[in-house]
Amino acid sequence: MQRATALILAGGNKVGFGPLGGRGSVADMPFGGRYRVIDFALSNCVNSGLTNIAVLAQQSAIRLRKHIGRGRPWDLDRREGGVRIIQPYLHRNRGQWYRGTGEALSQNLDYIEDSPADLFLVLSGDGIYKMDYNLVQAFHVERRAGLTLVVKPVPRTHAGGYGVVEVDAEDRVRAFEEKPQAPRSNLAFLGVYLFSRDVLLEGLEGLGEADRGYDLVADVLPSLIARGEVFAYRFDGYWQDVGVLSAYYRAHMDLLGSDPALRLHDRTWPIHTRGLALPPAKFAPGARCRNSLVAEGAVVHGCVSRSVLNPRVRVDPEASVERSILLAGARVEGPTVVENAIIDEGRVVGPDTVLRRPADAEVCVVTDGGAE
Amino acid sequence: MSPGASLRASSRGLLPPEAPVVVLLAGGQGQRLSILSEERAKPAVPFGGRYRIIDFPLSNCVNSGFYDVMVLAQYRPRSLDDHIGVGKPWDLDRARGGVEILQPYPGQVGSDWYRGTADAVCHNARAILGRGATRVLVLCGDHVYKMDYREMLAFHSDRGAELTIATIPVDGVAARELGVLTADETGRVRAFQEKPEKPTGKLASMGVYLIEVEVLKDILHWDSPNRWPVDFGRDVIPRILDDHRVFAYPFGGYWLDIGTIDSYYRANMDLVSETPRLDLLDPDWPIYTQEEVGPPVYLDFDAEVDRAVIGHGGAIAGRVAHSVLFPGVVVEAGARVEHAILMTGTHVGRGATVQRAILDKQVRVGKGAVVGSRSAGRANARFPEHLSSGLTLVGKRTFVPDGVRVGGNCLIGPKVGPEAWRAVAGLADGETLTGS
Repeated sequence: MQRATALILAGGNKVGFGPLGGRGSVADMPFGGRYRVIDFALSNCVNSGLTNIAVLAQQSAIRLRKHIGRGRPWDLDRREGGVRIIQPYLHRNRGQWYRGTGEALSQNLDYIEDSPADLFLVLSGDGIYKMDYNLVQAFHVERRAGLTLVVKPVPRTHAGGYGVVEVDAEDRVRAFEEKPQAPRSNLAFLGVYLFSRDVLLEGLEGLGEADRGYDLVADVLPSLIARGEVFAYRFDGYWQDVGVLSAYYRAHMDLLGSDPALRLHDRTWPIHTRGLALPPAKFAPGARCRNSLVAEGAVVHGCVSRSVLNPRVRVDPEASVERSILLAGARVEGPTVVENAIIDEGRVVGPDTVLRRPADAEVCVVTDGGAE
Repeated sequence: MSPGASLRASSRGLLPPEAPVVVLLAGGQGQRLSILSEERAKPAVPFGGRYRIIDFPLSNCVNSGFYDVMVLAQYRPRSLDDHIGVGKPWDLDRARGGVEILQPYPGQVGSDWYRGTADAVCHNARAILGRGATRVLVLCGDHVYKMDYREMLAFHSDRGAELTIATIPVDGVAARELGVLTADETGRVRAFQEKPEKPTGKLASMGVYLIEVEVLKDILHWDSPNRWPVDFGRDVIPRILDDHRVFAYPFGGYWLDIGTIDSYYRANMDLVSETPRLDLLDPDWPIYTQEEVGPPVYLDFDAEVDRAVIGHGGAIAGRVAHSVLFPGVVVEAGARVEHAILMTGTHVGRGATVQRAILDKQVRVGKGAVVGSRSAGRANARFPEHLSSGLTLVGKRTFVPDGVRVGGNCLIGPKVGPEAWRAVAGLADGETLTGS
């Protein structure tokens, strides 16, 4: 079967992360105690047999480059294909930062044209999910689609937060509304597109120029829908865009429990990431640790429940951590209570502190400027 | 103090002739490690919930900036090949230098299996010379320690030494297993006894030798294979003390020769103590190993962990205490794992008990089974020299059926399947069960 070339859009900024924002992109945020957000998109590609991947970066390309490198942890350091990270660059007549998803692609038209693939999988680097893109591809070929959008049925009341897709009985897309007030369907678009080559090249033509706009959804989709070339593939698995703080926190909580919504301990669909030279997690005498994920190099003396501990985290004696995410190298010094918190990389909380979320927030964040 | 605190590792590394070429002896069979080293070389025996023994000397090399390493293998070399590969995790896949695994081959000068440490070096004389270094650092792949070899190199240069032996202080019975030496106040070695009945010196050789290549050529008789000595400790060093400048470098840190099942067990258990003698979290002296990746360990609602080291990818629903668990170990609900070492991918079924035991990779312990005993009991009838302290040893990919009881000092496997258990209801203290 013809393998698609994957184009991962990793430019999502951290505006929605409040105090945890700052430099970098959502795609390079740590996730799940051990990973970076982009590891999910990359691993989905590799697990689906797609080994020709371009990561379109804008913010924090340095951190993404450091993380992905030549792609070895994903087995993507290949003689042919593999992964490459593409940043905005100066053309002969112009230079322009990407103003939207469409322009990120149109500025790299040469890369797309030079790729021998007949199909292009365009996906967001900000999603946490496990998806076999082969199934999308089979659907695309079977429906003779020009563009397949991956959608997920969600409760109608939630659909207003997404791009909402209306389909006919053959799954042909009839209408697409971005974040509608009154959704007319329960199918939410997941930011995963599978384009046929010609349709993509045609759609990108002139994108970024004054009269054409620069967004895939706003400026490319409508005409393709009008021509009846767009189909919707239904995905039923777990999916979460973690582009905002609350979603990022909730997605972490979804990893916990005996039967988690998203299972990381899954040999059939491993999530790959860069290796670390750290010893195993250590649990000292008196440690209590329940319903939690604990990464390498973490040392637990205190009490931890329903939490995710990243590498080199320390929870000292008499410290209690609940429903929290401790990023790499964070430390909680006892006696301290931490609840519903995200503690940024390398930050120290305590001793003698009680850290709880404010009544109007789901989570509190400890970063450079203290708790917020 | 960490060995790297005073001298930070340079990622570039020294190049020959400044830096010595490293000859890492990794041919050990480790017969006293019983089935742990039956299918792997002793340096490839897993250690500390994550590592292989050889990771320590290899990481010491790169942390010291020595990037030219020859690993001499002969027993079960595939285990080393699989682990080291091209040396990527140690940053040893280099255009110049890097790591190379060498085995004896027919047609080599003096063609035969290596008979000992000095003989192994002689076999590879040409390769060593080809590296262009003026000094050779001889290391052993069986030792767990963190050492900055640059400090030894500085000591060696300052003294104008021809051969420097790294040493640890030793007294009493322990010395009988080691090379024991006496040095004068300048550090010059005046006497050397290999595994003496009645040790007189207070220093023991760590099997780490820094030697000038020109001297090495001379003392090993490189050019005449029929005169090749077998062992550095037994045949070389005692005979050259008068004619050559041999010095003892005092190493102050933790050093352990993983000799027996009991010392292997104790060294692992040291890591779960509150202040282990070996600090694996030291950012100045990382220990590198194969970069296998998995999710963080998951501790379920009823998990209990107390004094445990648990590798990534594990899932713990039962109790784990005083134990070292390698990656991907599953301990189901109601199961108890105490005073045990469980290697990669081992699975302990619901309600089972594992105590005072070492379980190799991918062992499956059935529901409600009991493996090991708290009391020492009778020594193993077939291998009393390996198993007498009460530890039970279970080999790779072995299966222990539901409800079966296995006592202390027992040996099972490797690769014991369900069929082997048909005629066996359980194992009493000191019994052995093998597949064939």
